[in-house]
This record gives sequence, structure tokens and C-alpha cells, in this order.
Amino acid sequence: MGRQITIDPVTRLEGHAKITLHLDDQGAVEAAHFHVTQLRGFEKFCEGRRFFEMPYLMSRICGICPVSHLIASAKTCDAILAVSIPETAANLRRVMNLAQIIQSHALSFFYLSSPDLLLGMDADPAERNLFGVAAAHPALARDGVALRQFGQQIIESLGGRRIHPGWVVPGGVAEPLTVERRDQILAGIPEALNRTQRTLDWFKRALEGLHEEIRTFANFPSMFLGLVGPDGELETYDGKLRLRGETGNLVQDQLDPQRYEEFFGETSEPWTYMKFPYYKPAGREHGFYRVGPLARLNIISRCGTSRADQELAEFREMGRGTIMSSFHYHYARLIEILHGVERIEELLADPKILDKNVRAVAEPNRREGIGVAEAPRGTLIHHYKIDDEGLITWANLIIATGHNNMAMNRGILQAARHYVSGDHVSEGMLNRVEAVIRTFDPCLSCSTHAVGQMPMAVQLVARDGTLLRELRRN
Amino acid sequence: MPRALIIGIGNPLRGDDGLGWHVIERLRGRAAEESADLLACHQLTPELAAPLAQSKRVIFIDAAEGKPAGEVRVERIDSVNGPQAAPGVLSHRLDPPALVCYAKSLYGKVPEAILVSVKGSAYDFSENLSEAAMSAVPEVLRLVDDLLIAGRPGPAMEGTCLPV
Repeated sequence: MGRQITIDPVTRLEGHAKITLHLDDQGAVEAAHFHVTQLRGFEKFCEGRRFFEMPYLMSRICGICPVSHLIASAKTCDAILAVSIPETAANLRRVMNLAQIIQSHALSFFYLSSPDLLLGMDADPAERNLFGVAAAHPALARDGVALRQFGQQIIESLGGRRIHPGWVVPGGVAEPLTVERRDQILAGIPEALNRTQRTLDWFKRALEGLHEEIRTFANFPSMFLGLVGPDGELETYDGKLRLRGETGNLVQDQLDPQRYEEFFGETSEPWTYMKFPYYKPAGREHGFYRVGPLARLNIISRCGTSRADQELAEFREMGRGTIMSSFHYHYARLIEILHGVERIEELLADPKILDKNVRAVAEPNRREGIGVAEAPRGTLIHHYKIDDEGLITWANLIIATGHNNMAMNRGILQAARHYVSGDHVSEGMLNRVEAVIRTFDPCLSCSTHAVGQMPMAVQLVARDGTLLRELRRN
Repeated sequence: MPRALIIGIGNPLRGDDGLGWHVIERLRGRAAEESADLLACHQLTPELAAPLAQSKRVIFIDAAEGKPAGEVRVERIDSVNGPQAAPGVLSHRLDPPALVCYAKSLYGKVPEAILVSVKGSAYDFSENLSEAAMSAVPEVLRLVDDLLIAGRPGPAMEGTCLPV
């Protein structure tokens, strides 16, 4: 008789989800499904709104990465206006997006994942949390708090508020940067670099004790997607798409994001609200890829900043060019924080960053626009169509977490097959299955929800619906 | 010179839940702003531990469930260290006692922390406070002034307060 294990809800994620593990008659895992159980509907309810309202409206999708939606949306509106925004405006948006990546990665690494990494997957859930980390590793916890604060303060300094800033507008940004604000941000750079480097040094040592997780956490060949600069360098605001294959081969390079529909499709399944994007030329079955920090480090030629490039070289020594274990999303996040801090310093050191010309003004010149940027979790695509009145008639959003949907499902199956046995359901095992998902840092609802030590129920259910066994965490 | 920190908590789009924001707005331009940093936020996040630990005193302003609507309560938050003081702690959202505990565990010290809460009655979509919550705002403003100046509530509040 086939059976099913349900993990519901999955904890320490952005949003709500559950995992079901389907067992065969021998108690071995034969299938795994990652269910996203809520529907947001932003693409539908924005229809009829004025297109220039979209950046502010879309930033409300998420309380963790509002800046990424703000920027992708503003770029879409730039395309509708058919303007080339001032270079200073583009660089100011770039600074804000990097600050966003820093604070979001700090949240993911220090707040959500460090309890598992520092205290162990099998530690008591009552202690495997922020307090446990603060008690056992206060210096590292303080570094995490400071780095998230650093990113958020830059966003606040530029946009006037930490969450949902309205400073990025169609055509550029609303206000130029002042000398005082620039200097305030620059003053925090040395400390941010030190804190990031210290964490990286610790994490690299800690990897020695995590071989099993590295080996089994969504560790399989796949393609990797992200934006790159003209020379293949790490680029999070603009650039072209690069898709690298599992052997390190370039499947696509310098692909104009405006052509995304030709190459990327989406399918759906009846058991989840999250769609499954795929690379069309490879087909639905074989066209899956990963995005986000690990993907970005796998596709780029270089980071483009000195310290991050040194770390990238060391990172790549772990594999033959392409790192396949999703466990290394954690490692990649730290390198991206380092790159972000360095790049922000470079951008602010240029006197042109204080230029007063930061906005291009125009009426709509196109009926359709596409805007693409790198969000903390990966490539983010916004696409709008408008009518003669400038009202939205159609919108399509491909969220970073969606790109990783196929990989997350495969990753759960891989980890479950390794750790789950039908007759043995332990807290540590369950947390490992959840931790596979957590490596991707998915933002399921793309909004802020209460997460953490929420109740978690694991059910062993027979095919006829009979509850065979239940494990519950309150 | 360390300053006090006043944090208004809640969602300003959900009726009385926005009381903390409302009070912070009313404090701007008053004497309180000269001696305290004012902050309004939807929820308490771990990184607030840093400014909290550096403050002379922290006052949280929040809406609370229960009756009678409009009742004002003042509570001192004990800085008991450790997760036992904050069962159910979440990963990136904390309640005032949990944040105080977290700050102490990170920085070894925390200032005196006080929670001022007002029992609300309407939490539907609205940018306005209910009549009961609105009527409590002047009391909260006076209370904040007393706490900033004397470190304790004035005589008018003593009958309705928990020990501070």
C-alpha cells in the first residue's frame, strides 16, 4: 500500500508551503511535491491601473525584496516610455538593488539558515533559532544584525524608508543623492567588509563538517540562468541573459531579456499555485534550470570586484567549473554580499553619482514593455501591456523563486530518498528536507508572513486516506 | 549621550492596529522628539536590537486585544536572557519581550524597556482609529512625556498601570 508524508507548513521560509512525500509499498520515497498553497493574483488585479503606478504597486508584492520588484517594474515603465534613463539614475538604482541583495542575503543566511548551520540539523527546535545562535555564537549573530542593518539603512537613505520605498520611478529616480547621504553610506563600508569577510572565513571552515548535506542537498546537474554584463561579469541591475549548461557550456549568451518569451515558457501543475518556468528549446522535461546566488556565480566570468573575485576563485575550486550542490547557495550568498559592499563603494566613489539629472520625462511611446533585473533570489521578469489611456491591460511576472520550482522539487526528492524511511520520521530528518528548500531561500508569497517555529505536521497517510502515523511540532 | 527610543508598532492600514504609528506621528514636533528617537514599524525585526541596546530607555507603543476598548496599560519588560523568555520566537519577527531578550543576549545589556498598550476594538481595513482608541491617544502622549522626564508614569496613571 502506497503512503504519503506531509510536512505542513514548511518553516523559516518567506510564505507558506507544504511538502508531501509519497512512499511506495516498501516505504521508499517514490515522489515528492513542494506545494505552494496561496494565490496572490497581482497580475490580475493590476489590470486597469495606470502604468506609472505599477512600480509602487508591484513593490507591495514583497516585504523582503520590494526594491527588486520596484526596479524591474520601473524598468518596464522605462521601456513603455521608450527612454534611456540618465546614467546616474541607473547607478543609483544599481546601488539600491545591491543594498537590497545584501539585506536579503543577510536575512536568509543569518536569521533563517544559521540556526541549522551553527547548531546542527538535529538540535532541539526550541533552541535552533535566533536565540540559540545569539547564545552560542554572539559575534556572528551581531555581524548578521549589522549587515542587514547596513543594507536596510542604504535603502532608507536613498528611498526614505526601509520597506516599500517609492524613490525609484519610471524614467529614473525621484531625487538625486546628496553628499551627506553618500558619505554616510561610505562610512559604513569598512565595517561591512570586515563583518562579511569574517563570516566567510568561518563558513569555509564550517563546510568541513557539512559534507553529507553538501552531497545530498539538491546536488544534481542542471542549467543555470542569470544576467551578466558585457564581459560576462556579475550584473544585478541590467545586462543580458546567460544560460550555462551542466558541463559549463554556454547554452545562451548575451541574450536580450526583451526576447524572454521566445526562450522561456511556463507550465503549471494542479497541486501547486507556483508555475514551472523552463527553457523552451530543451522542452518541459529537460529544460529546468536554477537561478539566484549559486546560478549567478556559476554563469559569470568574474564578479568584477577584487575581494569577491578572490573568493570566487576559491569557491570554484570545489567543483570543475560549475558547482552543482544547492547547499552552496549559502556560500554564494556570502560572496554576493561581499561583492555588493565593494560595488556600492565603487559606484559611490564616482563623483558623477551626485549628478542632479536623474530622471527622463516622457509620455508613453510604446504599448508594451519588459523589465528584467536580478532579485536576491534570481532573475525577475516584469512584462506589461497598456491601452491608449495608459492603463494596464495585461501583466506577466516571472518571479525568481518560480524559476527554481523544478529544481526545488527535484531537490526534495533527492534529500527525501536519502533521509526518509517510511518507518522512521525524526525531527532532524524533517528539518533536512525543509533545509533543502531553505537553501534556495524561496519567497513563496513574495510578501512578509509570520514564519519560524510554526506548527509542523508530518502525516503518514495510506492511499485510501487512512492516517497511519502523525508527527507534530508545535 | 544616549537617547531614548520610542517604537510604534502595527499596521496603519488596519484600524486600531495602527495606533503605534498614530502616536509616533503625534509625538513629532513635541518635547518628546528632543530627547527620543521616534520609529514606526509594522513589526519588530532582529536588527532593531542594535539601536535598542544603545538607547537610554525604550518605550514600545502597541495596540492590544481585549476589553475594555481604549484601556491603557503600562508594563515593564523584564530583560530575562534566553529563549525561555520568548517562547514561540519567530525568525524575523519578534514581540517586545523577545526583542529585549535578543538585544541583551547579543550586546550584554539593555536599557529599561516599557510597553504601553491600548486595547483596540476595530481591526478592519482603515487608516483611522476607532473612537475608543482615539480617545486614549492624549493619555498615551502624557504618559510618554512622564516616562521620558521622570522615568515613571505620572500620578494620574498610577491606578491603571502595572508596576513600572
